[in-house]
Amino acid sequence: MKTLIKFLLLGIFILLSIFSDLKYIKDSVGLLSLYDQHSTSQLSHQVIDRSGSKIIVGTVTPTTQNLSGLYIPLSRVNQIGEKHLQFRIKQEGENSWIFKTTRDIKESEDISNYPIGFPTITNSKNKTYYFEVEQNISSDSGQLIFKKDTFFLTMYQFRTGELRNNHELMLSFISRKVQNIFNNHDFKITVLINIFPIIFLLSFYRSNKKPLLAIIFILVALCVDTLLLPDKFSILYFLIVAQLIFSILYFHLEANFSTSLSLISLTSIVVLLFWYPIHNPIFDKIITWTYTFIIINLIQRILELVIRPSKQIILAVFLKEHGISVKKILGPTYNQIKHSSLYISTIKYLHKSFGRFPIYKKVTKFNFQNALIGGLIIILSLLIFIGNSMLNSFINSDNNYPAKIHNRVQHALSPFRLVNISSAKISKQQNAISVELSLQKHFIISEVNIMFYQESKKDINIYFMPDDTWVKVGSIKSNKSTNLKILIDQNKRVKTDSVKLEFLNFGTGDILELPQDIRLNRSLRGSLVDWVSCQLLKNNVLPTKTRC
Amino acid sequence: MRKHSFYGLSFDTVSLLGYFVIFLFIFYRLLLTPGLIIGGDWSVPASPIQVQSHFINCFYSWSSTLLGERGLCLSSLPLIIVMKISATIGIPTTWFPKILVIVLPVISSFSTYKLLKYLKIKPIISILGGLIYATSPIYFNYLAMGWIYILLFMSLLPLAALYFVRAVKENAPKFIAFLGAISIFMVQPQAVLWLPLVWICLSIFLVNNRFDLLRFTKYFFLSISTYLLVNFYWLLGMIAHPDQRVISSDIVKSTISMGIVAHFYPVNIIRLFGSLYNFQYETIIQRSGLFVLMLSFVFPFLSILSLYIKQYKKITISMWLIAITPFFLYILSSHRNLLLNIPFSNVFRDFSRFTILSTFAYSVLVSITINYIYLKKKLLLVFIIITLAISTLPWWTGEIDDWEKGIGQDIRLRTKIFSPDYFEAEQMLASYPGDVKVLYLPVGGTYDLDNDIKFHGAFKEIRDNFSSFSPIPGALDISDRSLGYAADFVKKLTANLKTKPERVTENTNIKFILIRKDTNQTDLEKIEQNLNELVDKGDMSVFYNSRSTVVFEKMDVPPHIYIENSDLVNPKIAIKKINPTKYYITVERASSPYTLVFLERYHPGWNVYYKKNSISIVGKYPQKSAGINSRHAIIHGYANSWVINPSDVDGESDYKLIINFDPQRYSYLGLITSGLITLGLFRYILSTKK
Repeated sequence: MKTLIKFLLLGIFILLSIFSDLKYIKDSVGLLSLYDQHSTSQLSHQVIDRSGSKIIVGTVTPTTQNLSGLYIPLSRVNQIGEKHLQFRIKQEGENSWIFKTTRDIKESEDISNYPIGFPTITNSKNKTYYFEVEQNISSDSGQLIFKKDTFFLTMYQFRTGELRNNHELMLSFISRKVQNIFNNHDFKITVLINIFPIIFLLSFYRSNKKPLLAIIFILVALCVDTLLLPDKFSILYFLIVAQLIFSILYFHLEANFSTSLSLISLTSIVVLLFWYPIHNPIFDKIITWTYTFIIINLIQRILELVIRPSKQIILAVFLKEHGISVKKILGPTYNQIKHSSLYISTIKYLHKSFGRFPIYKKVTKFNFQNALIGGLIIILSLLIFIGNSMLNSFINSDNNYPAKIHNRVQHALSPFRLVNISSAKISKQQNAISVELSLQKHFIISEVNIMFYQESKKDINIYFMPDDTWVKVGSIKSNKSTNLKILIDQNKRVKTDSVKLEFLNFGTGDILELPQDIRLNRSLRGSLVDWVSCQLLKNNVLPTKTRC
Repeated sequence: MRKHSFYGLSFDTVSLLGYFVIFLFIFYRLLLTPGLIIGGDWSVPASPIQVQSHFINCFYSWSSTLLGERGLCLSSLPLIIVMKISATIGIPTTWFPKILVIVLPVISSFSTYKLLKYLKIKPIISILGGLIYATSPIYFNYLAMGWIYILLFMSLLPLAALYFVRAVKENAPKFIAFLGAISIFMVQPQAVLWLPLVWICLSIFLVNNRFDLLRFTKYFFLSISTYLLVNFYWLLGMIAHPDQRVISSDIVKSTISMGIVAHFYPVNIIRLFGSLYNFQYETIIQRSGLFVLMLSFVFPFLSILSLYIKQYKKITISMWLIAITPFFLYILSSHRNLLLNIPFSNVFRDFSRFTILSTFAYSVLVSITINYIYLKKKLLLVFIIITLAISTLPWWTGEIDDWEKGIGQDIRLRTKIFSPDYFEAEQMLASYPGDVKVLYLPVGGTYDLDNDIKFHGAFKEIRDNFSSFSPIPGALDISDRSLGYAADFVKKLTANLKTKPERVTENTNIKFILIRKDTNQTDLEKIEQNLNELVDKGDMSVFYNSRSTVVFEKMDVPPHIYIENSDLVNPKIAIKKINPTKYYITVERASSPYTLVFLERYHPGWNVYYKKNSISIVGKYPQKSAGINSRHAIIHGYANSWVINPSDVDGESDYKLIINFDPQRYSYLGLITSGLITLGLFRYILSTKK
């Protein structure tokens, strides 16, 4: 019976695994489709003389028959509103286009892998094709560019009859399909996750150290679940929970096991913070696990109050049995700290030196009074330290309006820690507002984020002048705040130690329509910038720890 | 003796003094800055006139606002009484919020200290535990925002738990009396849910056998009943005559409600972060560097460690059950549609408020762990204190009142010295004798100040306490809550402000329009200009004018109660306002049907009572006139009206009517009950002391 259950369980896991892997055979391009990856270095931006439009041009050489579409990774630069695209493709060296089409791209549309389909080109293998993507350019609509250093895809579409009749093509299709599936990152993760419980079950049946294996499984599965699937709940979550409950019941693990698991998951955050920003979904997943373990732990502890457990595996004994000792793990570090830390040695030396004085002896007895005195000394020190800086800020503050804004900009820049801004200057010309930031080092700036709050009586358009031309980056309704992201064109990024941004209110198109009364001018100037953040590129390489 | 005292002073006294010193240090700059604490949701009376107006209004279930509305401020009565007493004895009104800012964290710390000490935690650790509670993120954020009532509840929660635990453990009803006494200030509607929840979680700690269970059950119901009875004065009206704003579930998905839980996700919940849409404490931590960010996990870490400590096994389980509540609510929050089907969802829709429960539990759990560590290695305490000090950095760096660092939606404590013109205008309005109203511009409950950067810009607006506590009804709040029967009228009013100001006050008894000139409101100048044109035409006059305030007076304003559509000669009526919920009307020469108009927001709770002339109007309550009240209708888009036929008044032409807001009876009944219960509790406490 036991063997039957074992095989049944194994069978269920394998079926589950196959079932969840099946969807990757019919991947995003379809069951009877294949795709190829090509480097975007084959693409380039060009300006067409006849219209001044910017186009993306590229060539591609298909590795198989039936070319039927392209996936181009696009991104927006200062784009507001809809965009019209013209796509055309022809064989290299030919004059006539094989296919032409026009597309509308909505503002909210995902264009990270923009698909363009066309009638299947049957004999496409090893021929080179030239294509163009042209976009309408107007003064205020920004533009679309392709992403560099990545891939664009070619898609090939096959028909059932075609494959059935051509065995050679069928074999080639199957081998390419398998390659396509194995190239899929999600597929690899799913296979890994689904194989995981099966491996565990197989080893568990043969293991002599089953509780240890169960705990190791939970820890490894936890890593897989949090690191590989940070933003989704999978069957693995329930498997781990089931595994823990099963282990507690079957092996009589004491509640401290799940306490330790919650502690381990929580502590892992401190380590992961070195690699991931706190907003990464990975942390929410880990904390969900921490709570899950605590809930299991509490249920177990409450049940233990009612039903006295017998023959439990005690955590300390378990660790000792398996040679895992906290002292062993921490021993070298502890000894190192204990014996060679300068800090401890200094304290010891001071303790010894001051030991002669009776008042010190009295203080170091460490009863309540002395602790309070010690506490007061610490508070006093903190008071002097913090008080000094607070007093400075208090004295330096004044009621100068632009100066306050100036401080706020400086202050607002500091959280991002990417660069030290040595000064920030805001000035208002007749119709424009300029923000000048001086940097302590030279950087190449790729992106500027600005939050505006405007209180003028009409909606205003914000224009940004990265070089000689004005680009509309957004519009703000009256009495509203808006976040603006300004991407600086790759070709226009220069190494600089100062950034000057100018914003111009064209109103309804006529500069003279700007209201001139003092009230508006003052509020417009005062409410210019709530915060500014700069995502900076140092030596053209993105910093590894971007806190923006 | 020496063990329990510090140079002759008891630990309790020392801890209390210590807490005072610490919080004085934290808020010294705020205390030294002149002006009234305002901004965020801080809105307290700025003058004795406002205190008086607020004090009187708080006794009634109908608020004297611009259009009138169901009053929910009865629950703030205890604090208003304290405010009134302090104003009466001559404490300046600007001091009251400053005193609150110091006193609230001191009470929180001290009540936690008392609880911990009872749980046999070492006194020094108990003192530390108290400090941990009062320097939590939620405390920082709520204090900066001015959520006083929830802070009051939070401050007294540990003490309430202590009294409940002692009542059960020692089988001593006097502790329930103590609990009842402090319940006067625990006036959160959510408390009706929170207290039973905490008590049930504490059952693990308190119940060992069947006998304990009986005792626990007894004191559970006794304590909850005491809480409900002490707070009967505001609860009864809410239960017996429920208000849509409270019982409905219409705002669980409003922008504001969703914004409140914007930061409420696991990685924040476990650190007691994300308690509010405004994220000030959390922002400071996040920009203080990786080390401080890591230390923000120190409280959950120490709390989990407490589970290993066998000595405190049961209380640890109880406290952890309390601590995980917000996480369950996070799961519920991600299926928020469910709330739409749950009655009273408006009350507890703000799940992030439940963080106060986990904050309370953490302070106990962390103290248990530190106590254990302290017993094992005393020197480690210094290390722990330093760690905790760094992890609560925003408290020690003077950020709470550094308004310059409040960027965008992050708010800090700020003070404001109001223009003397404001007070002068208020004084003049207060001395106006008629039963009229004043429209404060800008409307909406908040306004932006052009000449004060502290209150200028998005999220920096000032709370309009001058309209909220106006001596003449004047407040017009526009929020995500239902505006009731006047919703359309309010929309029309705000729309007309910009274009047709002369129509704004149509069909209302708004006699005055007050404009704060120094506010940054679109079209305010235009409105002022339009009103000046009306002055030129003779429709209005300027009642008061100064550098920052102008008050226009409308010449022709209908009375608060009047008669309309009479076919023949209008009956003569005389009105006497008794209070905001009761008006006496003497009618003469009413021989034909007429419409009685009452210019307050329509509410089914308003009813007309009839009395013969021969019977004194004061005294035994007359019967409600079913005929008249069946014709209770909305008029002018917001107000009350009744068609009164001669048959409704026994064919008489001279008689008396009473317009009464019926839910006020529940307030009276509740006030009497709560008053008697409170007196009884104090009597009982005094007798047990003897």
